[in-house]
Amino acid sequence: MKQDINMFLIAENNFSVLNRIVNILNRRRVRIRRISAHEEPDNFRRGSVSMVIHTTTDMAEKVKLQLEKLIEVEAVSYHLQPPLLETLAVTTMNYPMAASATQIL
Amino acid sequence: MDVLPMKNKDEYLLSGAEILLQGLVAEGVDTLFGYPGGAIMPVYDALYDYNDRLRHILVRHEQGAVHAAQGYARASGRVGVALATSGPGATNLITGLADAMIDSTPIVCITGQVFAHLLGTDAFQEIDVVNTTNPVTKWNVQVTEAADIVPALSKAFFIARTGRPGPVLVDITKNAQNERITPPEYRPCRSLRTYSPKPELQPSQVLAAAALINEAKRPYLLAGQGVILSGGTDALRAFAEKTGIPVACTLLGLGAFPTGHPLYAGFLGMHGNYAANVNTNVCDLIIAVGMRFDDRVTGNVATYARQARIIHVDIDKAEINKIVRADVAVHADAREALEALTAQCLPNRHDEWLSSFRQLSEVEDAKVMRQEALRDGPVRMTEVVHDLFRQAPENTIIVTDVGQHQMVTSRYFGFLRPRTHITSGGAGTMGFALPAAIGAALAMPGTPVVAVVGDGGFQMTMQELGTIMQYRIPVKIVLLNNSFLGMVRQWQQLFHGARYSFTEIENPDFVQVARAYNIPATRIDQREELPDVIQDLLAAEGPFFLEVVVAKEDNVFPMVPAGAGVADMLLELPVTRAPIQTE
Repeated sequence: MKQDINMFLIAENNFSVLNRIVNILNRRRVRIRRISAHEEPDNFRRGSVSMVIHTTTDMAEKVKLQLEKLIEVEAVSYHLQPPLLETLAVTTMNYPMAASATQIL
Repeated sequence: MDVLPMKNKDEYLLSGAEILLQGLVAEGVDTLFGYPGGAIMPVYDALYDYNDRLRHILVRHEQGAVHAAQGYARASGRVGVALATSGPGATNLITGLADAMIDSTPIVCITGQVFAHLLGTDAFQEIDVVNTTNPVTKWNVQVTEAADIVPALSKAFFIARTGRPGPVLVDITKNAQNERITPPEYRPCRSLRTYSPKPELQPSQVLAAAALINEAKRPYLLAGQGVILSGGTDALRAFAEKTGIPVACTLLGLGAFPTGHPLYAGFLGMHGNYAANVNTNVCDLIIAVGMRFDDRVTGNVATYARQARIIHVDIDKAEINKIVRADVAVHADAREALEALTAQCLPNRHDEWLSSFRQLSEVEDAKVMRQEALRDGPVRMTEVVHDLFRQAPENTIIVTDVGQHQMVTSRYFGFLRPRTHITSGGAGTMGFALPAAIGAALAMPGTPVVAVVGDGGFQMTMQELGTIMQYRIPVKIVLLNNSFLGMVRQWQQLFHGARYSFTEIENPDFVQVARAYNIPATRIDQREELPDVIQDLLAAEGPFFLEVVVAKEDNVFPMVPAGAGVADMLLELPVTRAPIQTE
């Protein structure tokens, strides 16, 4: 059953990395309902992406593994509870003193 | 005392192009396949002074360069390198990149790009190569400053050759090629923070897999290219011989296990062996090693090996549970996993199970092979491949294109060693064979290389005869000419009511074409001539072109119709003329 799933990635902030991420989802025809990406406040070489995708958990798991294969991608997680990662993503942006998104996670 | 003349500061500087070539030498590259053009001219200018260290092969089309690099890599295990200019030069690489991506071939493609200040302005021969090649590369990068060339190149080679190998593209703007800087020391990349190419073998996974293997009554090992890429062919043999488990090979896995071995169960897939396919749905345990359950292997997944438990060994975690759900996943290098499993598994024999393969093989023998062995009427592809196998030395590298001749070669040429079979598997790229054979021949001097091609695919890249001519590359070409796009015609016959829509080809005089390139060439259409002419072909010191006129409307059987299950193999043409219904 398709449902809204929050997916969160941490990656090196290279040119085209966002394209690579979106390409994987597009190729699997996974609908992206919302996406936001940003550099880490004190380290432009690292960034994170949070998105809400509409798909099955089975597909989310397959997409996660394919995203993890991308050379620049450091970590991928997904959760069914919508508010959690939204909150984390917003927290990351609101607390620039945090050294990294992983600290918050 | 003489005073040494002071060097001008500029003399200590190197251009980005020279730094690139020094980096290639440092990576152990000896051969480049390429085609020059405006945006890569600084690299070609620098190459002029690197003739003694880097052999550049001027191909006739960039697609030829990338396929040659693939052939070089597949035959040798080393990274193949291709060079191209910006724009169309770079986009002509894309088919080969996609092919290398799906077939896990380690290549590095270097493309020139317009000046950095022109990026995004629709400048002459400017194409956004990085974004265009994103889906067909393991990694790619654009370099706009000379100082970034060394880090990009070392990372490119590391990524291409490690883990599950794949293609990498490095796009270098012309200003970066021209820029002169103090050359940085070349340090090969050894690790990357966000990339773990080789997973650590988990003992718990090995023990769980060994437990299933030890209790199985009808275990069956499916060997893919991962066995070859990991250098695990000896480990596979040791595992099979200890456990008595029959081994079948995928198309790219051919050569991973000797076809003459008593435990060899056959070739898997749509046109594979009957026993190898049918027993997939009889076994009680599948041990899939370094293979990815391609749809040509599984047929209809819904009916694939439903009765069996599955152990899936793969270095690529994303392949596990992608198509077929694994009961035990071993996320590991194939060789390491096989060695660990051999240590954990008990010695065993499965005589009754093995005899079931022999019984099914007799069915295929009676229905297919004996029919194909009847030597009457026009020459058949099977006869040519059979004669070639009979006469070719054991180390001969066979490179095939895509289509009927490819399947016939895979079925009838008995591959005995790893890296002796090179073909386009996942992408199914017609035109692959001729340039790939060039790359294989240059990678493995002294090893016979035979390209087996059809008349359709050959004409997609036959301009590479010019490359063979220019460098006297000793590639032997066997063209099986049925004046049809044979595999498409076969599908039209079986599934579209024999409506042969645009599959019949009017061909040129291939022998005259080959001779125009100064390549000795001959054509035969009588089977009695086959043994002698194949002997001549193999004995030729340089290149040789042989055209064999074969039966026009021959079919490759057995066949799993698209959408059918592996146990539903067709052994012959159905009696009815109505199209076969598939999903």
